[in-house]
Parts: sequence; structure tokens; C-alpha cells
Amino acid sequence: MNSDTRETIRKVLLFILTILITLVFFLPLLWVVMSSFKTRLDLFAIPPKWIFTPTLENYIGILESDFKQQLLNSLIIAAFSTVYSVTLGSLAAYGFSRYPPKSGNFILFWILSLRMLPVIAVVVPFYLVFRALGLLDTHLALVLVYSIFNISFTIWLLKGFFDEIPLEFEEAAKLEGYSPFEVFSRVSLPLTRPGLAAAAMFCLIQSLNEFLIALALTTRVAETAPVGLAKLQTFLGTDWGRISAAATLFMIPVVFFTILIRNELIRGMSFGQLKG
Amino acid sequence: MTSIRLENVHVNFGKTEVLRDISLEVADGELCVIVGPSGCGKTVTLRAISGLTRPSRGHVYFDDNVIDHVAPGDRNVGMAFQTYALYPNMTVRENWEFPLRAAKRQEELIQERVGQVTGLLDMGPLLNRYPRELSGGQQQRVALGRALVRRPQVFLLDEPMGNLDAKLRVELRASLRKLQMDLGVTTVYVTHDQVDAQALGDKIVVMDVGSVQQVGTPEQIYETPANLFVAGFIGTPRMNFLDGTLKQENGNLVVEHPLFKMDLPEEVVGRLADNARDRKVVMGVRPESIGVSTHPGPQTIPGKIYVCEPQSNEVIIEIELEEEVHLKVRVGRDALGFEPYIDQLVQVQIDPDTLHFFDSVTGVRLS
Ligand SMILES: Nc1ncnc2c1ncn2[C@@H]1O[C@H](COP(=O)(O)OP(=O)(O)OP(=O)(O)O)[C@@H](O)[C@H]1O
Ligand SMILES: [Mg+2]
Repeated sequence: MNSDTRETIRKVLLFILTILITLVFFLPLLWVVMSSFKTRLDLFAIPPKWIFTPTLENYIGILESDFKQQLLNSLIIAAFSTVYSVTLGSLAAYGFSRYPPKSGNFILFWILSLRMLPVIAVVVPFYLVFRALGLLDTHLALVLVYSIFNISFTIWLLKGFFDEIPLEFEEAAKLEGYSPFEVFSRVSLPLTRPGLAAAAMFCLIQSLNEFLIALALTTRVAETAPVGLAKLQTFLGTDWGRISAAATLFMIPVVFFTILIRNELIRGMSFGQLKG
Repeated sequence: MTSIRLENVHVNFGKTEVLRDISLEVADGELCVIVGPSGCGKTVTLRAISGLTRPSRGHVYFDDNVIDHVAPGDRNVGMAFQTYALYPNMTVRENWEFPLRAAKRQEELIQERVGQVTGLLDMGPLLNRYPRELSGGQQQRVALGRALVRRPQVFLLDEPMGNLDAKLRVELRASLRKLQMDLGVTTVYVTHDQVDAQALGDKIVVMDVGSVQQVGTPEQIYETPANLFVAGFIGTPRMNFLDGTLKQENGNLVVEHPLFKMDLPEEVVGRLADNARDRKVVMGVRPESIGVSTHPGPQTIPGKIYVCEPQSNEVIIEIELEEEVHLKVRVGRDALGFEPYIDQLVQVQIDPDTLHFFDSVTGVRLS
């Protein structure tokens, strides 16, 4: 057996393995998407039906309910929190990397510890604070809370990326007459694109998924999709078809965003692999 | 235009003093070459001139103005970094346009300048490549181009040609020199390459462990090295050093070595300082000023060939006079007149005119 065939066999085996692993992770998703198109009868058929006549009845049902507004709320809150976190986070991370304050490590640890805080410990204080501010059940409240958590993570992630950038890139630009902010925005920031992508993705998913705080701080106007989804499980029974439809709709923006930034994301996941 | 002056510049990194009292002047339009062993502070000197590193003591002047507090971007210097520091997310063309865009130049001017540099550095087919897609020498040319494209008052070039092949280096050296003279840009050029230094420099600065050892024209540095370090650093192979004693004998000054004794001619004696009598010295003799023959003559020293390194049109022969006493000799193949082989017995001829004398304790040149 020459090395070419061996190489081919290796590749094929690896490919099959990859497919298998992907399937394992993908199956639940597939189940949800399929369920969303099933009638109540098909849904509980045993053995499960792989082939069935799809129906849009679940989608129509869910879109006529409050869920449409909740989905919109989720997206608005997540988008604002992400933009806000990544913008502020990258500026702060750059500051920590290039102009480290005296007790920089302590401050950094303190910032990160915000992220490690169990959410349940802060729900009540947040509730009291926002009640005092009169911000209960507003989008702003959730944007602020999510940003607190996301910024801390973003700073940590991006500081690593900025640390990797050789100082001389910036010095060269400085010599060429660029102002400190231009050096940041035109030289360093573009080099952290993979990091920005990873941070944005992370912030988005965190904000979309968050449940406990949203449950505590919102009642109607700013209620988010995860809370809405949970409320579909009533004591009258659970409408799995509608839940599946809602979950599918909920997934679409994340999938879309992931595809959009997938190239940067792959580089971002392999941390600090800053290769031009 | 601009002249550069460093006045007693010290640079410290934490506790270590990297530059110790550097004073240096580069006249307007001059090309000053800095040479010195690795780690002696050449890069840091350039950084002090550019303002990227703040001296802990001393001052930097452009013309007669102190610029200690002028930001690097306002000094109008173009620097080619030793590590290139090319923007990895920009193509060659974008790397070159970037400095021009900072000054918000007209688009036509930008394209014209980029075109000129492209021609000068012979990078035409590579303009749209990213730095990672270039060889080391090509990247180096991009780095050089980025310093040149802006036409600053001062060029600071940190080993801008170390990675180029011999042919390109010679060509580029000539074009760079021409461009520099045409534009009249004051230039500080760091190199390891002695040929570069000799060929380019109006002035050479030899540095060692953070201080200036000698400043002079290429000829001065070669012909009258100020101390043992400069003598040993300039020239390939390096100067031979032998311990000896200067003595007065029958009214003549002689230099005595365990293996030989030489009368010093009038001119040499005249050059030596008055106090250079009866003292231990280090004699220096350049490999290219030693003669080798197979037959003994007046004042020849016997020896044995130890190693023989043929070069293109000359040979470098290492001759053992006695154990631990070796001399390197560089002679043209034609001038040698015989085919040297290892262990061959030969006679070495040293012309006393060509001897350099250094104090055996301080290493300072005696003259
Ligand atoms: N940022 C720094 N922090 C601490 N020490 C430094 C720093 N930069 C340079 N040094 C030290 O200063 C000395 C001079 O460095 P420099 O880079 O000027 O050497 P060089 O002459 O350019 O050498 P080479 O020919 O290898 O480039 C070295 O001993 C180096 O270790
Ligand atoms: Mg250097």
C-alpha cells in the first residue's frame, strides 16, 4: 500500500467520523425542526415518523401569539447588548493591553469575576435596583444587565488578541503620523477581527439564551423569547409542536449570524493564532 | 533639511543601562552607518532618534532644536524596522499607501510614489500579495519601501538589506545611495555588513555595549582604529593581535615578541606618542598586510600552515608560529605564487609600517 492510498483511506475514515459526531449533535436539532412541521398526531407517533406531510399550522399558531413580540424583544436586546459590549469591551481591552494600569491584574480579575458570579445570586439585587430606577420591564434594563456580563468576557478575550499584536505594528503607524485612536482603529482593531467575531458570537448567544434575569425583570413589554417559550408549558399541557416552531424561529438569527462570520470565527476559536 | 544630534543620551530598561552616554552627530544630508555586534544598542539608538524610546538622560536634537518632547509622528522620520513590522492584513501596495494616507495626500501623488518605490525595489509583480506570501528578502524590501515612500526628513534604516542576495544587495545599495543623495535625506543606517558600511557610509559609527567606540570616515576607521575593539571588529578576517614590548635599543625603537624582534622605521616612531616606550603593547596587523613566501628572507618569521580557506580570487591562510600563536593572512592567489597546503612550512613577512599599537591594559591606540 503506497502512502497515497493510505492517506486517502485516512481522510475517508476521518470524514466518516466527523459526519457521525456531527450527526450526534445535530439529531436533537433535526428533531425540533421536524417536529415543528408535524401535526400533534404525527408528533407522538411511535415509532417516530421520518416521513410525514408537513404542516405550517404550528408556525401560524405561534406567530399569532405573543411570541412574535418576544422574539423581536430578544433580538433587539441581544443586538444592542452585543454591539455595546464589543465596542466598549474592545476599547477597554486595548487599554488594558497597551496602557496597563498599576494594579491591572487585580482589576482584570475583578472584572472577570463578574462573569463568574452565579446569576441567581444577583437576580434579586438587580430587581431591586431596576425597580428603584423605574426600569422594570424595559429593553434597556436587560441590555444593561447582559452587557455587564458580556463586557467582562469580551475584555478578557480581546485583551489576549491585542497582547498578541507586536508593538512594532503600532509604532510604525505612530511614526507615520497616525493619532493614537487611529492606530487603534486602523491598525490594531482590524487585526483582532477573529477575536471580535468570537466575542460578538458569544455575547449574542449569551444574551439570547438568558432566562433567569429576563424572567425576573420583565413582565410583558420587554419579555424575551426564552421566557415566552417556558410559558408555553402550561398546566393545561405542553404544546410541543408550537414550542418546536418557536425554537426553530429562534434559531434562525443565530444560524444566520454564524454563517456570516464563520471564517473569522474559526480563526477566533483557535485563540491568539494571529497569522496575518 | 535636518541634521541629527544626540547629546549624552542614556537609555535604561529597568535597571539595565542599554545606551551609555551616546553622543553623535549626523550632518544634513549625510549617510551615517552604525555598526556593532548584536545587542550593542543599534536598534535602541534608532528608536531614541525616532522618539519611540525615551532617553532616560540626554537630549536629541533635530537641527538645533531639542525634540525630546516631540511625538514620534511629528518628527517626520521614516523607519525601516529590523523585524519589518509589515501590516499583515494589508497587501504590499496597501502597506505602502498607508503612510501616505496618514498625511491625506492626493490620490495621484500616492500612486506616483508607490510606483516609484515599486520600480526602485523591483516589486512590480508582487504588489497585490500579502506579507505572509512573500519571502524574507521580499518582505524586507517592502519594509524599506514603506520608509522611503513618504519622503521624510530622516531615514532610519535598521538592517534594511540583511536578507537580500548579493546581487540584489549591490544593486539596491547603489539605488538607495542615489535616492538618498538626490533627496538629500539625512540617513542613519544600521548594518552588520562591513561591505555595506564601507560602501555607503559618509561616516561610520562603531558601537559596543551601549557606547560609541569610534566615529569616522570608512578610511579612518579602517586605517586608524581607535582601540582594540574597533580594530578587531572592522575588517575580515579580523586583525591579528600579538603581545609585545616596545623597547629602546641602540637609539632605535624596536618591538619585541618572544618569536621575533623588529626595528621600527622613523615614520612609525614619529606616529607613536612619546610615552610609548618601554611598555607592554598589543600589536595589530591586518591579514591583508602580511606577506607569505616559501623562502626565508630578511626579518621573516617561520611558521606552519594550519588551515587554508580558498576564496574566489584569494586565500585566507592561518599560520601557526608556535603553539597558540596563530596569524591569519589574506593574499591574492596570484600574489602568493605557490599552492599552499596544510602543514607546509612557510615564512611570514610583516611590514613594520603596517603595525598598529594598542595599550595592553586599556586597549587604546598608541599614536
Ligand atoms: N524593550 C527592551 N527591554 C529590555 N531590554 C531591551 C529592550 N530592547 C532592547 N533591550 C536590550 O538592549 C540591548 C540593545 O538592544 P538592541 O536591540 O539595540 O541591539 P542591536 O544592536 O540592535 O542588536 P542586533 O544587531 O542583534 O539587532 C540588548 O542587550 C537588549 O537585550
Ligand atoms: Mg537591532
